[in-house]
Amino acid sequence: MVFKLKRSSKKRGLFVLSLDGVPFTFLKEQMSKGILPYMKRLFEEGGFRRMNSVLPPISSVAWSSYMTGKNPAGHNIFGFIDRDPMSLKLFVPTGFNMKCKTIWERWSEEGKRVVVMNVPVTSPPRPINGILISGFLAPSIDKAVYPPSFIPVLKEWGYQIDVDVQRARVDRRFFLEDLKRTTQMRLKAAEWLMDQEDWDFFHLHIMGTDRINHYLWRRWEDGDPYFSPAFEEYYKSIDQFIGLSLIPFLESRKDTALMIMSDHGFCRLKKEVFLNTWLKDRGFLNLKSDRAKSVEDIEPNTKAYSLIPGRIYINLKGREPEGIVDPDKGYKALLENLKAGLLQLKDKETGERLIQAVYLRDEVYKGPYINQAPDMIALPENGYDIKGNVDQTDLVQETDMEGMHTFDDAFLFIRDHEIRADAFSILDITPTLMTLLGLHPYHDLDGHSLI
Amino acid sequence: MTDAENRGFTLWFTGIPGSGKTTLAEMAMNEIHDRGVKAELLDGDVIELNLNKGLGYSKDDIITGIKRVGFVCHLLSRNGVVAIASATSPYREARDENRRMIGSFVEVFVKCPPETCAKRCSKDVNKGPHDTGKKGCDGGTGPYEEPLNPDVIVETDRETREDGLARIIKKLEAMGYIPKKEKKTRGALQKEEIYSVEEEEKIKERLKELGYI
Repeated sequence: MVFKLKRSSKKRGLFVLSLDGVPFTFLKEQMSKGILPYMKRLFEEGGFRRMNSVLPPISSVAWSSYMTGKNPAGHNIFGFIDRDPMSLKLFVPTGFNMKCKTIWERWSEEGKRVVVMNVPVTSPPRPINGILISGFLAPSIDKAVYPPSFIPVLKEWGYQIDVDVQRARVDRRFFLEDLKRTTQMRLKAAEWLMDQEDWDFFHLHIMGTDRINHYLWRRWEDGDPYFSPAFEEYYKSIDQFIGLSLIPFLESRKDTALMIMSDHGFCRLKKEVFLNTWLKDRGFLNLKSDRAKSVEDIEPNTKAYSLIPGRIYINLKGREPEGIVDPDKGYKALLENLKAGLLQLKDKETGERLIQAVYLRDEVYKGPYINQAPDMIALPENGYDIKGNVDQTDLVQETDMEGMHTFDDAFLFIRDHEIRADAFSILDITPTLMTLLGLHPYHDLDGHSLI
Repeated sequence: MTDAENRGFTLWFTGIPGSGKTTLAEMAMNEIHDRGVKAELLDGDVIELNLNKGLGYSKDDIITGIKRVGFVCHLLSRNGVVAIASATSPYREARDENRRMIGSFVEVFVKCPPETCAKRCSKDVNKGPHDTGKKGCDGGTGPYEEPLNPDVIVETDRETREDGLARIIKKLEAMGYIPKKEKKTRGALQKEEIYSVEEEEKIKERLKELGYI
């Protein structure tokens, strides 16, 4: 393949580069150290600010909010795993469960041509006016691409949707090679599409930043002689793509705006916190047997159960199959009781608090799918990653994972524009994109344009 | 229909006299009514005989007239009614001020060369600058500032009114303001597009390895 950038156009457009899970504070620090010189120079040409994610701050929820402009109760994606309240059966929410249109579907209906690459939760791909290559959660390339006629092209290129996470967990050196290969292939495919396709809106998503943060953050922070430089090299490769491919390409499309962003922050993972263990110990959660593997196996006398990360559900009469908590009597008191208990949780070894905040459903969600939402969300202190396993005996445990997501440290950069807000969230991105594209933001979006 | 789709909005047709604003506005109202949505048309008779009676031809008077129509649209929109205005509204600043006040505002620029509009106009039904077009034109002698960023442009000398209307309706559907006639549901996806049991298990394994479940 030859990736020669040859198309020149004055067409108005917008390019979004998203770097999954890259924190504002991390980027700022690396830029000041001179590790990311192209980004440093570029970010002086516009607004660069810290941004809040959504609750819970995980990629499937955050990108669903980005691509619909709605909070989770407006799009129905609340986590990587969810439960059917009628049966308590667990399922993996996908694009199929997303109950509203994405911005690229809506723009397609207005005649805009869009290219979307590798964004999570876009599988199964929905028809658009352009090309969509799904990202994380797509089971295979065969079910990841619209139009399907583009599938053989991607296969010929050796395009991979994601790294081999199973092998990554046990072999970090293999992971690095796999990550490098996958990312380079994605960037080359993006360069080809940028140049060869006609588009008004182009979104290229890099998942690899999230992956490397999960698997190598601690070793990077600790200055591991092999992995720490490799970690920085990976970020440098993204920086070089921006400086040596993306910016020169955009020189040929002077009227194309540029946004670079992440969906959540990241920090060092110290320990994992198993909230269902706490609920069991306090008598709120009872399982059918010691061998129970998930909340599908709760006893009818259960009052509350939890799904990752920090989502807490009341076993509500009329909603859960064998609900016992009366929504009019006892529901509110139970929530207050749980909230008070969660805020007191501590790591016995260090004395550190485990939970920084607890939000009730109605405080953070609004929309037609609020009944699918958890009744309460616990946001952990940085370093303590909340899990949903039911088969653990200790509340706090060590782990081999090295990084975890944070809520308030995503970033946003918009070239040639000041960001006119002090505090904002990923919900404000969608209307901002529309303003950059010269469209009036749809009236049903939850956020506000930042420019 | 969702709550959002039930919210009112203002559909504002602007263009020089004789461009075809009221024709399109009436067609749009019928189409919106057909979808079970309440809509009110503010055009020539309503504007000239009621809202703007007594106003003259000065720039200030014309701007006052545009703002009055905008205010009524605002009241209707915020109470869940679709307000459709057909008014020359020649000053951009006044139209933009209405957009800011109303928020849910869709501007349709009905574009047509002045000479074509002049041919369409009947001199004996001159209605005034606050206009209309329903029964004729105002002559179009004053300045007209074209919208810089309208939501829809209909070029009535180049496309049929049916085509123009279709684009307006498509835009309103895309913006979520009105429901589609044949509502497509997620159930319309083909069965093979949904993951198989094996694929879902594979995805769950990946999520476990990443510590996501």
